[in-house]
Amino acid sequence: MKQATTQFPVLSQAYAGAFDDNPVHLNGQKVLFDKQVTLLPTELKPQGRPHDSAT
Amino acid sequence: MALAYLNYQRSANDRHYFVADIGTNAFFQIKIGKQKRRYQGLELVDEEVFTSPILALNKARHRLNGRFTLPLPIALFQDRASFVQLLSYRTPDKVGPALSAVLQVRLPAADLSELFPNLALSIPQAAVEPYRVRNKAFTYQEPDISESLFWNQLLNALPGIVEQAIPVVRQLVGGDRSGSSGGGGSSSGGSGSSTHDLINAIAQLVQTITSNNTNGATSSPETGATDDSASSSGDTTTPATPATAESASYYGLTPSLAQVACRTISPDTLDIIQDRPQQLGKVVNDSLLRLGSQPRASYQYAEAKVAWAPIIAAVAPYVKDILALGNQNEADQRRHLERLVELLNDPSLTALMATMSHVPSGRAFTPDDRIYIDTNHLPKIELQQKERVVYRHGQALTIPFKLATDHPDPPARPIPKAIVEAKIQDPDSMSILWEKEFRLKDVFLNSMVNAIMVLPEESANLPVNTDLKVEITIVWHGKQPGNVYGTIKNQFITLVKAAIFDRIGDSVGDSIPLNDIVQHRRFWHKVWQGGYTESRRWNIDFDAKYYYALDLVEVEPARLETRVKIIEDNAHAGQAMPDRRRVRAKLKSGMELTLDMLNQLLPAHGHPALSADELEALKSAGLQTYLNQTARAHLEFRGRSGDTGTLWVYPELTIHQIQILRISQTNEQGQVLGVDKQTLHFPRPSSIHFIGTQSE
Repeated sequence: MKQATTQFPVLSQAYAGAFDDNPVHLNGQKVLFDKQVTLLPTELKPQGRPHDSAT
Repeated sequence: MALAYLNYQRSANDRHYFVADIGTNAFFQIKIGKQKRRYQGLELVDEEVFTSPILALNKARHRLNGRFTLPLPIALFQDRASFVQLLSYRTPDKVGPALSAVLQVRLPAADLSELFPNLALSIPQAAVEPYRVRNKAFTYQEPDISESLFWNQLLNALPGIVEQAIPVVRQLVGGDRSGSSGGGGSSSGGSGSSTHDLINAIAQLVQTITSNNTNGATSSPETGATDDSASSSGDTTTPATPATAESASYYGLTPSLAQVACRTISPDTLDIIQDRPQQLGKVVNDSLLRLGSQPRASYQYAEAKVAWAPIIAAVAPYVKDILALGNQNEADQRRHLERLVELLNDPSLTALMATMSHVPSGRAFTPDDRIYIDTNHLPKIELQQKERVVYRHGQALTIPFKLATDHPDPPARPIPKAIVEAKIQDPDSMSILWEKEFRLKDVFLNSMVNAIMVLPEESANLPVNTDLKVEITIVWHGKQPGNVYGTIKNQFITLVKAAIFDRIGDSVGDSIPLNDIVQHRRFWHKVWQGGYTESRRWNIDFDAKYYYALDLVEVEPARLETRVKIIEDNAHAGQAMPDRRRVRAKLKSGMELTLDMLNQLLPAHGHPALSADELEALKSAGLQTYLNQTARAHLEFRGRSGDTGTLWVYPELTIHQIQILRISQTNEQGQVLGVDKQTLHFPRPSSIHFIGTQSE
């Protein structure tokens, strides 16, 4: 029986070196990292005003 | 000119149709492959599954140019090969080649099943739901932290700052008066005299406010005017005001501004906007301008077209910095003055001033300090943790008010004629959404006025589930010809259909990674792809920010464009390329989520999808404050020449309890008197995964 193959493994807890020993691929490329970051609420305004903040 | 241009048009009848152009070349070839690669800076199809023979373009049919429609059977894109490239030649033996960009053709259904080339697919294609994702420019921005800082700092610290600020600002802007710190002024000479004037105006305002702090309220009318007022009782010694003594410290406003705020903004409205300094500033500003339309105060807001107090707010932190300098050296003072000037020239302040420069329309009047508009009796319900006046959207609405006085012996006779100007405004933009005028006769003090009425078709055109500012102005003629008196009040209301989002509750269950690249494809975002070929090795360090914004209107989500700004790069024009290219950059991207796409996730996680009616209730700015989110990460890519790095993003969600309020009772004036609480479940992104990949 085939396993479900469209589930990308959650690798954020994985030891980074594990990627070298047992590489995981995404879209034909080797996965380097999976960094999980908590989202925080932010105030977003429609653009059109100056002071673009992030970049 | 020889060309190789290829652009996808459409798919029909088992064919993909492309527009091709080979310019002056006469021969062409098509290659289809599973991958693409870079070779000596050129992009090529790789892992080819089909290569056409070299074909000649019929120049008799394409005499003027080499543009033609190229149909390619879909069957040629076998084994999930999706990359296609056009090559053109001057001769059949491949002289004068030109290469098109490598296009990726969307494959039917599970077009991303190749995301795991090392694993076999087990999900049947029928299980894959079609999806659409729009692509958009990055249309959001976070308020600059300094903006909220300066507002908060101003509103909290202004009273303490101004007293000390005058001499320092005077000293720093005193270039035309004295010598020593005039250098500071000259250092900003390039900013022009308008900046200098502005600083002078600020210094003047600081002085005014300080003097007002000393002398008490600023906007007390002249007693003559009160005597002439129809409502006058002859006692002018006790200016009646709803503002209490301690109101001066409300909301961090100066005593004079707090008095204006308490007179012109209802208590529930003040409570709503007290933690929104910009809205508070705008509403106070609007009131100041309105009251100052026939200026009587020592500082003339109407003439300035802006209320200077908010501008002082803008510079308060900088003034504070200057004050912190004490008697430090001139160079430091100059540097801080430059910062101040920099801020004053900042487009954000210009934009802010532009919003402040709104000049309210309406009749000019002399404010009567002893009379105020009272809307405290309006029924309220607790909505989004604040007491709010809520009306039923689409119904005829009446907004009753009282013309009130706290005078112990108010006159018994009415105001013979009065005009009520009523406006409903967006409290952010101050744009007028509805405006009407009502003429009244015999207006008695402390009795209800049911004049302001919004027709059903008018209320149906107003925004729902968001705060709206109602500005009520009442004006009347005094006994002396030409004397017009008046007063205003700002009251926030919210229009609601059947139900409205109230609050978000606890999460239920574990977080859910949307890591199925087929089922959750809409949530996956290829944010960036790149690399370098000119250096033997390369490193890219990203300071990455990813945003989720809740779009309340659209059904389909939208991926926002990725913006990359290079901060440092050790490759310099005109110099040899470094052996190891090092780049540091900021990256931002994001996605507009929709209620529909989130709703569709619920059944798979044990919760019923919300009905259209329930979803409508969630279309609220209140929910956006919870679902507009950002995550920031430092990401490092490295590779060899020709390697390609790629950054993907997908979210994890948690299901939250959501409380909505369903209207259970309204009165004939359209006011909501009762609501029933209803708990729903709805997903909210809780974290995101930044996935970095690299070509092998």
